[in-house]
Amino acid sequence: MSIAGPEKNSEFLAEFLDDYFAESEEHLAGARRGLLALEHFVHQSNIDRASLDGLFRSFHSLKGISGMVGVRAAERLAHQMESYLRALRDWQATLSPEGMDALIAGAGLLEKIISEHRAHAPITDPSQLMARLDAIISEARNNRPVDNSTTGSVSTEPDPLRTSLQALAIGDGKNVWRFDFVPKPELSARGINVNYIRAGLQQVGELMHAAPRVTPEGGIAFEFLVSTSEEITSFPDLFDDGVTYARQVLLPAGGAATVDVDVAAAPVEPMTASYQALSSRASNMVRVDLARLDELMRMVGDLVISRSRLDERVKHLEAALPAPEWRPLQETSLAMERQLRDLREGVMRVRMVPIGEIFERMQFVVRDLAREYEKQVKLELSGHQTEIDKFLVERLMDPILHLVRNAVSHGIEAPNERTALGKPREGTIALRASAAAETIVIEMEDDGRGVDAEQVIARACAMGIGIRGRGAGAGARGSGVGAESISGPREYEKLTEAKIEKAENIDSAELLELICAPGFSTRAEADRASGRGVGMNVVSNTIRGLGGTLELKTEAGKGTLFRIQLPLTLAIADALIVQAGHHRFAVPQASVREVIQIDASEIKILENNDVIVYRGAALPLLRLTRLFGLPEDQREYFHAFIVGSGLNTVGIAVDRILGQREIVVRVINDPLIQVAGVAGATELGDGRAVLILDAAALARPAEGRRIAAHNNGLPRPSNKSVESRTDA
Amino acid sequence: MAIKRQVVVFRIGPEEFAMDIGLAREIVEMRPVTPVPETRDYVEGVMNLRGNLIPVLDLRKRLRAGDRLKGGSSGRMSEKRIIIVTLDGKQLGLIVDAASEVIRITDDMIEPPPEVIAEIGVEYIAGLLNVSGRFITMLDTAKALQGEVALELGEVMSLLASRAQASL
Repeated sequence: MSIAGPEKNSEFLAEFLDDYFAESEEHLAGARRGLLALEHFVHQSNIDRASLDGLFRSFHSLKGISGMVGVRAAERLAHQMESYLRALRDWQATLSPEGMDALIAGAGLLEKIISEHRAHAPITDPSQLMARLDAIISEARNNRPVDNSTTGSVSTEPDPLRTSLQALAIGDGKNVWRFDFVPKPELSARGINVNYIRAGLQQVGELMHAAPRVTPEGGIAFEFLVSTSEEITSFPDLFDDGVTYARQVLLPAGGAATVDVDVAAAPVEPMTASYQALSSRASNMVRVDLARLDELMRMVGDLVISRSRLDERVKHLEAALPAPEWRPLQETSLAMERQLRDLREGVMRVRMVPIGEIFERMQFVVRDLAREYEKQVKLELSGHQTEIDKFLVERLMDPILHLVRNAVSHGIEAPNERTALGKPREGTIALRASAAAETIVIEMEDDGRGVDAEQVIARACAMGIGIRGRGAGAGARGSGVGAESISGPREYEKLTEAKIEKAENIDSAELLELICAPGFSTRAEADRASGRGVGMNVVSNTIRGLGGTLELKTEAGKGTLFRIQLPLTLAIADALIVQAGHHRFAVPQASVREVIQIDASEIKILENNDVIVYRGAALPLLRLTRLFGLPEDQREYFHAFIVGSGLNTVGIAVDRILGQREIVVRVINDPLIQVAGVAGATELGDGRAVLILDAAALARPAEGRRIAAHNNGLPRPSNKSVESRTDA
Repeated sequence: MAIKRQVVVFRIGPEEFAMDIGLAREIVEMRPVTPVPETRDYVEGVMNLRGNLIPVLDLRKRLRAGDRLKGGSSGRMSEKRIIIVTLDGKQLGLIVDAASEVIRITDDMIEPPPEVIAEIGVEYIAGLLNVSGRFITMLDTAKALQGEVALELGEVMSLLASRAQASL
């Protein structure tokens, strides 16, 4: 077999890098948690050992893996942070506020450097922060108790890092071994890759340093330094071919020399033996590519469909056969349904991660921003154990970040102002998460000044943004002066004079709509945290894109509450199956508030819109047949499902409700058939595609009307519904 | 030595067309297509093929083959087929009036389209195929499915027919 070519190497490295990013994310998350715990110990010297050790491990791992992929800046910085933690631990130094700040800044910078490396962007130089840490360490050293002088000097000289590391370990009376590993395709086929070797070496001792290097032949080799306090003469049971090792001996001059152990003589053990030796000690966590879980979920979806096909066949048999013949079949089918539900939940659980991942980050955001705006803010978290789909976590980060930033910069008042208002000096931002049935609710509440409706309206008018005509009153549209220029795909209307004068006439849904309008900003000038005028628009678009809703509750002087409601998972949902104009549609149950029956005579016509009286108020009624241009029968009664909230509540009338069942959501991503109001498609067991309605989009008046207008102006060819039933 | 290739022959109205077999994944019988509201008029809807959602276009409408290409046995539902093509990595179903044949041709059997076709900007016609007296229009499927179709296919076909007549 030939030596792996450069392409093989780059492929190998890319895979390796993916692992690196994933792993560093984990360690950074761990570090953030640790730092939060550490904050309670500022000005103290007897810091909880467990907190320190946890943090130490996080930075140590970050150092190790960063070195392995050659991110020197991160390796050096993590090393320096580790040194400070070592000082805190070994010298029982007092944790100074400066030290705490430097650690937090360091964690932030590490994250920045790693993401810069990922984006192939120029890497920020950590020297300044390292110098800061250096000064803090020196101070800690000078102040350490006199009786404690065991450990060697903590090196602040990053270069030559390796030498100083060895000096440290050897000074501790440890042996340092150097291992070289040359990855080969045939080794990787047997599961022997860098991660495997690294895991193995971590069992041997402390992994001090790891780095890739290019061999003279152009291949890649990894170099590891491991310190161990045990006296080991050779490692025959750990590695066979692929790894060479040698003991490093520190020379008095400070350089290192290598004493080679006769590598060739190391016996080659059968692979199985060493495999077991390692795997029994390995961690039982598995990192899985999300795409593979998606694939698994898709297969479960296919099974759900096959099961409903089976169910359909059993129903046919029920009519044709005596009960004892079909009953066992039906029981099997029902048992399968339960098992499939369990399987589906099992797969879903694998994808679930605690939302705390996002929440914990916000601690730092709040901390930084509070300082920047000279405000006092505490962040209260609850429900951070609530689990949500990993897919959602990644997409929710930015919206939540933006809401929190807004709360600190716009919501919470300055301490003096708060005192004058009779509020506690320290403002509170609460982040809450909870799961209910098929949805997850995330709330962000602050006790600040609330959204100033008048200011928002004044600003909106100045920017030419207005409120869309809505619901039943949509017949009378405003004149729209200047609105066209900013309107984009949606229609906006100028506010009427009356509304501008009376801010209290605007409800919170309309207020939210204004804030979320493209380009809206209350700040004349952009600052770091907010005010670029893209934020809330992006927040609302992201949440809508995930099939969720955003709500606002605000009270002047009291505070603001944003509520995000999201479907728990996107792949399989419980849905109502409805029929309108000879077509079936699925409506995700999570979006349906209520199902009602309407007598045709109850429908009133108000400005060309159907309206019914519902719970003492007028409820706009949209007929699905008209929205979608489907043939309409004369009917005496309809069924309608109620969707939307607040003033966007509408009833959507259909001919019949056929039932309720589990559907597999398939996303439509071909632009040819991607339209507003249709969230995707599914099949119900008979092989036909059934459209899934996007109830939230239908409830939004502009889009609902747009569909209707489009279809009225362009009647569908009548043969369409005929053709679609050809082989019936 | 002429390059050999295979083409799928299908029909819209009385006219025969062909497309390269490399593009066509499979040909399925006409089946229920779920209409999707607010789409272009030539978009028939979406169909479910073994769990994949595939947009389905009516090729007759797409090529604006109006009344002039009515006739033949185009009214027979049982002959209608959906040709599943892969374009830019996406699957697409094309409804045609009939598709029954795959024929082997050599490149030299394809005559370039007459200049008049290029002049009127009907780029989706890749050439004319003369298979022992049968005139089959070779379609450039990718071009036929992209952009706007300006000229009604019926007119294009009569132009082609007059040209073919003249050459005899």
